[in-house]
Amino acid sequence: MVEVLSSSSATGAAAPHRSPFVGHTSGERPALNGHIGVRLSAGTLASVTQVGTWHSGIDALALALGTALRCDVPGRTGALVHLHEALLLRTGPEEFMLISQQQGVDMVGRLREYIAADLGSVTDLSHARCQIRIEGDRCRDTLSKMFALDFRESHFPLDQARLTGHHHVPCLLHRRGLDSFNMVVPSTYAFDQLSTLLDAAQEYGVALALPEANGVA
Amino acid sequence: MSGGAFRTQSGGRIRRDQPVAFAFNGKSLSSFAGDTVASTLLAHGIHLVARSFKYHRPRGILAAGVEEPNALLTVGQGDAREPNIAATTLEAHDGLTTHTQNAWPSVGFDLMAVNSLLSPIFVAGFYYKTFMGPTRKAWMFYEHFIRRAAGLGTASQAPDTDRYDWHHGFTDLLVIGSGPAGLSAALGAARAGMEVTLVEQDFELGGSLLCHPVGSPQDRWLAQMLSDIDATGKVRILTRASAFGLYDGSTVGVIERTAPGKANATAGVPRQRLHVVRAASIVMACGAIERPLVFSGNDRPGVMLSGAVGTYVNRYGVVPGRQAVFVTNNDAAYLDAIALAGAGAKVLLADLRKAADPQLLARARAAGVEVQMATAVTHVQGAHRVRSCTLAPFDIDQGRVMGAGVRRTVDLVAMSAGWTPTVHLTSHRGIKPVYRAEIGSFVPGGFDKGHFGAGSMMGAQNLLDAIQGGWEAAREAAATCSKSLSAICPAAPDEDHTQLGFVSVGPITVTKPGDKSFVDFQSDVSVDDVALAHLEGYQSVEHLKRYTTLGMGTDQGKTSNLNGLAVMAARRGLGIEDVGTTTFRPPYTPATVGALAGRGVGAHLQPVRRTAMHDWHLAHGGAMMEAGLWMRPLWFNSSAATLSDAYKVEMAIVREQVGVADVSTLGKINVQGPDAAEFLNRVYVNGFAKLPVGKARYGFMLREDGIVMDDGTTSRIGDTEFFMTTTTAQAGKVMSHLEFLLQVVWPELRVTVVSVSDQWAAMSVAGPQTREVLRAAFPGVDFDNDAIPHMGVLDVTLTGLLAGVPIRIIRLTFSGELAYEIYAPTHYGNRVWEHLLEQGTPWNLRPYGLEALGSLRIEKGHVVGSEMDGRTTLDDMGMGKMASKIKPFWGDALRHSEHLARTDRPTLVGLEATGPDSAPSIGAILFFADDAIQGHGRGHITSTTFSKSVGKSIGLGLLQGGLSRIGQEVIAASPVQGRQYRLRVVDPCFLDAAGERYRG
Repeated sequence: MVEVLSSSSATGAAAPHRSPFVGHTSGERPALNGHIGVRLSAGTLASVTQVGTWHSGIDALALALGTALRCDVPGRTGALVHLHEALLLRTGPEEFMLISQQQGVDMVGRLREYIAADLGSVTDLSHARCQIRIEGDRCRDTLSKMFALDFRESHFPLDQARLTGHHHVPCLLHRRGLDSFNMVVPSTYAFDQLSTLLDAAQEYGVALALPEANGVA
Repeated sequence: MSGGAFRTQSGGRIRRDQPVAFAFNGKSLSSFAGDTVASTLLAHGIHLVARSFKYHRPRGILAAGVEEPNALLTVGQGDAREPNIAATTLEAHDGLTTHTQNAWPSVGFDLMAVNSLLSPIFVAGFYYKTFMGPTRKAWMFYEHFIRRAAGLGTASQAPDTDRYDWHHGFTDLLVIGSGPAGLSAALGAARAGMEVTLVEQDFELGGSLLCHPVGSPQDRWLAQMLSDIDATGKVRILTRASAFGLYDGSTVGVIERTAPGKANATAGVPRQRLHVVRAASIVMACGAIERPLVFSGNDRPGVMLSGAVGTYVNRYGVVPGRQAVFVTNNDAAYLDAIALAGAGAKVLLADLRKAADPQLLARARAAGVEVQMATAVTHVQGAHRVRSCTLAPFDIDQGRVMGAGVRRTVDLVAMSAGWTPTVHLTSHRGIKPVYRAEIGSFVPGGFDKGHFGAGSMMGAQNLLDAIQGGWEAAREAAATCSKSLSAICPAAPDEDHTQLGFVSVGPITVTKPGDKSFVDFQSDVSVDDVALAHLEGYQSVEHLKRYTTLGMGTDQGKTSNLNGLAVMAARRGLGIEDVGTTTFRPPYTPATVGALAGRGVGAHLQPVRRTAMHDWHLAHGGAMMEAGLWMRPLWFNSSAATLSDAYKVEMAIVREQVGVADVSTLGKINVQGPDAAEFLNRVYVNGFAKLPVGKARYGFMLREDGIVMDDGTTSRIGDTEFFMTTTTAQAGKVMSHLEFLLQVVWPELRVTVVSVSDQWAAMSVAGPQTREVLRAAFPGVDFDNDAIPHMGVLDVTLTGLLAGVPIRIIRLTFSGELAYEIYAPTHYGNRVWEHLLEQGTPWNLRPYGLEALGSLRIEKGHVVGSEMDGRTTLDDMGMGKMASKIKPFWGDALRHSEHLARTDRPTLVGLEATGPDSAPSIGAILFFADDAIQGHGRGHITSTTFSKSVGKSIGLGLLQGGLSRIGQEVIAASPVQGRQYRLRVVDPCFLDAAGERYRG
């Protein structure tokens, strides 16, 4: 684990925000045989930052980003590294996504201390993305209804990420375990994507948890 | 419960301890688990189950599998009915309801059978020749009646209440077919370490092995193979799953039917599931289908395929007839005859050949089968059921009947003219089958890389060849995945040396012209029809198919294709290989539209995109409408009871007080990098290089062909950072366009673009009292002209109730009023919206919807997608002066092309009603006052509304001559509404042309 930005300062908002998942209800809906094959939990993310550069800038950006996060940045698209309370994913040849659980950190400002404008871009997407976690012995069957992805471990190993889409809505999938995935989805589609997952998982029995009480944190 | 009078006392694969019952034409029929509807009907002695497509001839059950052309039933009833389901593949189960179809009043007494009497004139091409006059449109009149007279079942028009689903599957090897070759391939591949998916269209694994008696060597071999396969733990098995199509990239469409009684829409269990299987390699072991013989009356109920008879006896414990004649040109029928004789029937076997395998002959005779060599069936007598048949001496070398026939009383005629390999899937890839004369059949003409074939599909004649072929295919498939198969191929079952029966086609034993000797049962195509097609010059098999409809039914001509080709080949004096075969296309078996749609119906038809304020809109009377994938409030019922009233109220609020609209749907793109200003300078027609930090600028961008792509406002947030907004509709296209330019056209630019549409909720506060509302809502922010002038941009972090929330304020207007766009991080969007409305209460701040938003902009003459419709240029919209003359920009070169620079192109004008009945309507065609009202006119109306400010209906349009025609009257013609009316051409800006309101 690598510390994400050694000196963090809380500059985030104190006002309550509203989760896009408000309207969904936590609870269980077992299959006909009583089984719960899929467990879902959904919520907002504390911090999502996209870091990118142009064709000629990747080496310098990788160096600066590695210095900022004190890690070796992932070498290819789909790879990721675990940091302290954060995850750094390589989402493209010249693009990274930093997902942090630390509340109240001005991640853009902190990264900008290391990544000057002539090295690359730093963009706050904390409100642009939400996360749906899907687990359970039928989670791969459920995901296979939506995504044309090969979920066999030989083709989608543990702790790898895939950028994919459902109905052309982009989705970043991170495999946490054999039957555990995090889906990072655009916020404005999040409510509907969760509806789709609930519908797809219905035959296997599905449970939903919304950790943000009433969707408000 | 006996399960029917024609049920054997024992035997078969049915589960006699699990009785079931279903309804057939309202009558309950007893059956067993493991039965099909067809086997049950035969067990109850019911052979008449259908009427033919064109002639309404009585038809029975011909086959025992997916190739069945006749026994098509309607399943279910009322709105839930599904037509044209083959009784031979339909599993018997409790609660099932079936009906015969295409007959009135009943299948036993069908008045439409009069067609049969008229059959001499209902030959191929009859409709084409007869119903073409007297006018060209006459066919449209006749078609209605012809379709009522002929056809299959009718589908319900009601929504399907069942549930369907999709599944994307990946596998090292897909094996299609679970006969001996398929099982062998699956086991071999699994033992080589491959992950295998095995699909079988039947509800039971085994393919042709299921035709053998329970306890036979073949049956024991099947059980052992299934056990061995299970032990590998590497084979995923899908039964009731038909591989209906083979597509690019080794993608196979497989529709899996849920077991009877298991589908439950409420519980989310689908009735059918479409598997989109992407396989690294494929072994096709699709088997072969038996061919009928062609003789007079070969379509009568009680005339069946020989293999089907054997299947009904051995698999289902059903005796299809008690006095039977088998007629064959191959060995395989002997086993079927022996099976039927063993079940107690009196059986005669007429072998068209001069000699047969002596051992087989001896077995048959020992079983009580009377065998006559060099004998043909020339006629079948009977109407609703075969009563007798005529047997005559036959010379197979000459293909002729050699003498008078003898009539024999029978209740069953079983026929076999050899077997046709199932080559459909390879045909789907555009690979033409090739003819192998020695087996009288077409086989696959090749395979795509990584695809292999095995078993009778490849012409394998016996079990041993099929098993070894499957094993070898597995070996080759394993090699494509860098694996090797070192295990030894399983041994074939003992005692089985029977050749499957690939022989030369035919013969065609038609004794006299005019007899109905059918080639294609489902499409009612007889030998005479093929002969007529030949006579009229339709000699190509593709022309033959279309002229006669040979092979165009739901069965895709599985039993008819080769016989049809044989007849044509004989007429032309050619070999079958010279006439070739038609192209098989997906689906191999009928596919429901429901399965193709999957869950993508109703609420899941398409993704729904919600703004942060979506729930607020719903809770406050917002009438939501689809805007692309977005849901947007069109109007609020708190404004008025109807749309036509509400938008006028909402417009008035904005013009006279202050309103707030949810504009979160605008596309938003973050543009960063040292060359960001230069990039935007090239993208937009107007200059952006010198845009100061803290200022916004309105701009147009063009497509490469010079047509306007989009408009929007871009703000400079910092020296190297810009915030671009696009129209809602073009957000995705603009983002793709920018990425294309950066990656392909100008890769040297140090710029990145990131969509931040989801990051920001946006709301437009507009109206004379906007500033007062914003000062109250955001007390720490200076909204004076000096602090944030028109087109000014301000990023602030709020204090007070919204402490810490960062917002972006851009002062710009769409309505023409003093207006500010407030951007808040999405998860705070709803809170900021509510805060604004709370703080704006003293000024009666109210929400307004999309209709008012659009109407306000019409009054100002602002263009949107209605005007930027992918055909218009900058000059068309009167914006040509915005384009820079000193810097290059994308699309500049072609916007000066001859066509786009024509001076007679319609350009933007305002239009106003000249009277109370002349409200313009969108899409109406514009004509000059002295024009004849015809053709494409001089332009069209793009946008309309009622303007309270102007006091009349107004609109925008594109008109030749444009602003030079201000003051003139034009005629608007609406062909759809059937009305014409007069409008006056005016300036497109109806309100505050000087801009005093928004600059205030």
